[in-house]
Amino acid sequence: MPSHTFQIDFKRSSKVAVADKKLKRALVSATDRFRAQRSLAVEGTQEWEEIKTRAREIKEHVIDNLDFYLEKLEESITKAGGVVHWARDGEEAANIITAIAAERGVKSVVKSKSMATEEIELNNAFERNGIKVVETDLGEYIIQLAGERPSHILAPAIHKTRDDISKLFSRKLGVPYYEEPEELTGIARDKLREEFLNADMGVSGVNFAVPETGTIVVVENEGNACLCTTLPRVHVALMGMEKVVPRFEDLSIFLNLLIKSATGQKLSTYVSFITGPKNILDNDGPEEFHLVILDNGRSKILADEVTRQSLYCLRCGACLNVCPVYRQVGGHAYGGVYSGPIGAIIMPQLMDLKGVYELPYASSLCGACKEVCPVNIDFPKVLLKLRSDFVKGREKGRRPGLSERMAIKLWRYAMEHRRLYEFISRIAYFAQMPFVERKGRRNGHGRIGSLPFPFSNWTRDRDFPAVAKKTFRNRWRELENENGDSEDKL
Amino acid sequence: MSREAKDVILASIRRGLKRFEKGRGESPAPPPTWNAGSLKHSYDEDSLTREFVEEVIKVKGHAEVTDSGEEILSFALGLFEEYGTNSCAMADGDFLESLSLAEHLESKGIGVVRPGSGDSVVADAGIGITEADYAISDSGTLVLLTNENNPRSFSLLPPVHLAIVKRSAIVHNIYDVMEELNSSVVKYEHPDQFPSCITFITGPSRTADIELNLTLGVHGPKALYVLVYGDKG
Repeated sequence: MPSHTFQIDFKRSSKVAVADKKLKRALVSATDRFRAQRSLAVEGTQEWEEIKTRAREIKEHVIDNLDFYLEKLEESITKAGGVVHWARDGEEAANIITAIAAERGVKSVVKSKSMATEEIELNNAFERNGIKVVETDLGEYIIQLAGERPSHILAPAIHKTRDDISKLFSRKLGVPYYEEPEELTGIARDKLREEFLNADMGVSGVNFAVPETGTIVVVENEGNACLCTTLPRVHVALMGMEKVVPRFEDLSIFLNLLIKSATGQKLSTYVSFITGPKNILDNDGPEEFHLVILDNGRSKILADEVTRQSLYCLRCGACLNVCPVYRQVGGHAYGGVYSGPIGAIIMPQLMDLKGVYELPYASSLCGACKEVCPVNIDFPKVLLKLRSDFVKGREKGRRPGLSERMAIKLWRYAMEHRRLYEFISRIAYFAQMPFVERKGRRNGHGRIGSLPFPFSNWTRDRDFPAVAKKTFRNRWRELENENGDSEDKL
Repeated sequence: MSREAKDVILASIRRGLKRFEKGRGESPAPPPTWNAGSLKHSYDEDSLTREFVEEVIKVKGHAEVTDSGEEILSFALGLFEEYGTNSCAMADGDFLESLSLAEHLESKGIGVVRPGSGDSVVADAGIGITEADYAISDSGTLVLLTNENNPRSFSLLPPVHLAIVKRSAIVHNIYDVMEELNSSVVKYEHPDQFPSCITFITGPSRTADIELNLTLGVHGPKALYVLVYGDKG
């Protein structure tokens, strides 16, 4: 029984988001910053294209042999003294983790940022079992206090202003209203330091897992993941099963690609390579290490040769920052786990939810995401495949109605017959007159905000660009003539 | 139950890949690791040191080159004064040992916490002192291998981190350091020889989660000091 509490209604939530001026400012400045930092880092890396290509080859290889590598990973981790668990779905993963906690009398858990734990709603599971769980990444901590969901893979609280956070802290933590980020960060440090020292169990995500050595890699800036994986006596890591890189040596290119794509840093402040629990002689580190390998729909993604590449994703977030849709609506509109272009392709494949099939349509197919992707995921291709699966009714979506299918057939016929198409364009140009909005009408950028039935469905959620006075062909011919003239004069 | 889940997952992977053989297949040959040969130059220790110091400063750390044990001691004493503390947690590095740094500090009335102390004792120390196993000049990164002499928490819990780096431990980039690690630790036969944790540290702990304002010291140290030592090449 799916126990999701996610709700996806992209059209409704994007309308709310677009109207939120504060959110829009925050989104634009955050995504602009990440983009600029990424570009600088990539420009400074002469081997960028080469390592991208190699990383893609390695990812293809890993997914093509995933059964082998996962068994090998289990073997290596077991050899290093850790325990590997397998979870078919989110509920099973949450049950495994809460059972590990319950069996060891764990009362409180500290968590570092992990999208996979968001995906399986681990915090709810802990709370249902009466176990206290505290998010320790500052952004996640803010979100947890506010009872919300992350809005960006890297910066989960970008939708919150410092005023929001000041009020939240004084309400929830009983501290005076501080406004400076340094002060707020200091409050969180003190509160969370106590949690770290008292926690019985630490939960982390996994950025990479290496079957060769049984090593998991955790990338972060705050140091909270180091603390989560060092201080409590039990460390549980949850990983989506695609996070494998075959060899220890391969980590160099993957870390390079992930970190530069994500924040533009040469290396993040902390990168931890964790191999099993503490060694016998070590003076600190957890006594137990558990890795939970999560399928939750990933084997289904792998079975489709077009969408399989969704599993190469490193979760860097670069595609969010360049996406014209994400930049307007933010992460919550996508349901609050994976957002932006990567959310649009993996959410419908991972989660069987009402509304999730709208997400592949939340894209103009501009391809900016494909361009910045460090493992060359062909987003437009995957989006189109998912749309087509949806329309063909292979997924549990709704087949489009008869009128929509007829309209598309007619459209296609007209597109294939130029004279008919031009004729219709002429008629449409005059027929649209009463509907075109005044603004931009003169310079050829007119828009139609609302059309009468049966076209009203089209304009309910978007404007329709007005049909231009001159067709592209006509303008082309004119331009050609002009150029021809000027060439004659030479 | 866990057995069953494993079998179901592996079977559905094989089904998805349209491979129907049962059990584990032959060990597949991955594409070659990327060869960083094109980026290899012969760097001398001086230029690596210079670049390393510059990069540490760029990521908001402090870095200096020192020539003698006395210099390191007086730098450390200066830090205790600056931060108004008289306690530290010190790892058991060979070089730190050879300087008798712990004895010198203790003689000045500074409490020195050694490996084996509890987390809360380490957390109360004013400065964590460690010796890095490697350093990366291109990114200003310290690489620390956990073992009985080098607990993870010493570079993490105290609010100030002072790291000592041997000049000869500095390599140019992440490819070089991974190559080093690969030829040393990965080859260990006994799992207990493999470090349970290898930590890469690039600057002091930081966050930008509040309106993208860079704030140092959110969970780890607020300040990072790096001293490079060793004879000039």
